Amino acid sequence: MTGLREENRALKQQIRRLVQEKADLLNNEEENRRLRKLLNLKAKHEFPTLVAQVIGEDATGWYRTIFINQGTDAGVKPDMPVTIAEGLVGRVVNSSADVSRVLLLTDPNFSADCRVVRTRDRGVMTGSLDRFCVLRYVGLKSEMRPGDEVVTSGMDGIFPRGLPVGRVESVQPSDQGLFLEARIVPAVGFSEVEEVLVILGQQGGFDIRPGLEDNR
Amino acid sequence: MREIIFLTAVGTATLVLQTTSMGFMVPAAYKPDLILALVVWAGLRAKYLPGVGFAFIIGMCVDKLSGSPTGLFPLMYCLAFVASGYVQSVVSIDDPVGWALTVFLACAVAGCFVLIIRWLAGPVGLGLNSVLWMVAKSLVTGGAALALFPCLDKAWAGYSRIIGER
Repeated sequence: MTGLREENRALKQQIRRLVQEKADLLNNEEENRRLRKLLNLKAKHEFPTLVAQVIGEDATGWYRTIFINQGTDAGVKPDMPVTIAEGLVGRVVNSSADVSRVLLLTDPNFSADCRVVRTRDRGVMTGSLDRFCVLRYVGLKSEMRPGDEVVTSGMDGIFPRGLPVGRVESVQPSDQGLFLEARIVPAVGFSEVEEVLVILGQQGGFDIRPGLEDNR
Repeated sequence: MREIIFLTAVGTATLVLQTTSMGFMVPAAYKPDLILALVVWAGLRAKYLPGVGFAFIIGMCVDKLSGSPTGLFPLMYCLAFVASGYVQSVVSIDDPVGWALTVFLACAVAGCFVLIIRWLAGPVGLGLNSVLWMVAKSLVTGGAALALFPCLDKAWAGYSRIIGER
């Protein structure tokens, strides 16, 4: 009887250990998948990049920022673009020796010069207080429509050309009726971002995805 | 002095919680502003000078750890501290409904500040969604105060027993 109890306890312990090992393996596999995607993206860039981990988020939630574990010691400076395989995440707004703060593209303080891939229309994309971003100042004659892909144009001197930003969800005239505005669904799911790629030095206008913009 | 030590310890723990694991529990946009709730609690319990100093310093920390313009959160937290202290002196707030309502109002006012400043700073549409967001966030923060205040009261009482009254 004592032997059975002992065996039972040992088996339960073994099950606990195996469950923990399985969880660790799944976690490692998921991390591996994410890092492999980042590595592929890193290989595409012809300028220096740096992998960083997300270590925190905005203290209040009224603003949309995250913290990454790389700072000036690793060469991270304000205005450097931050991206993942799915698309643009934001830009660095300030950095200390080991930590930097990244402004997400859904924050109203964020703006980037963008282009609709299919129609070649340019506009300024900003964050909004909704879950979407807004592409502003697009000409009234534009033929953009829901589903169109939006990428960075490279004309702002901050973001390289061709970084995926999101997809058009709806198009409507602006309040004054002078331009069209489009609601953009970001390509990145911000709550799932764990590692990011900081583009350390880039020349504005460099195309990181040759061929993408020719798929009209 | 005992208030300064207590508030510093609790403030540091809340800042860490707020910037790390809180985002996993609640969607980031709706996560409760626990620091504001803590400042309101300090307004109801702490003495004026240590409390207002704490509100200012933790506001500066929050400014550093969020995208806000420098000075916004120190100002708002000092106002929240003074206002909750004043309300406490007029009508004693000692029940959970009172706590939740005070924190809800403080968060709604802070939200108004933030949204107006954002609206003044850039092309941000202040529509129904913004108002709903502010109300939802204030409700979540008010709800969080129902759990936070008893914990803080217990911690404060335990700490006072260990340290003494002076």
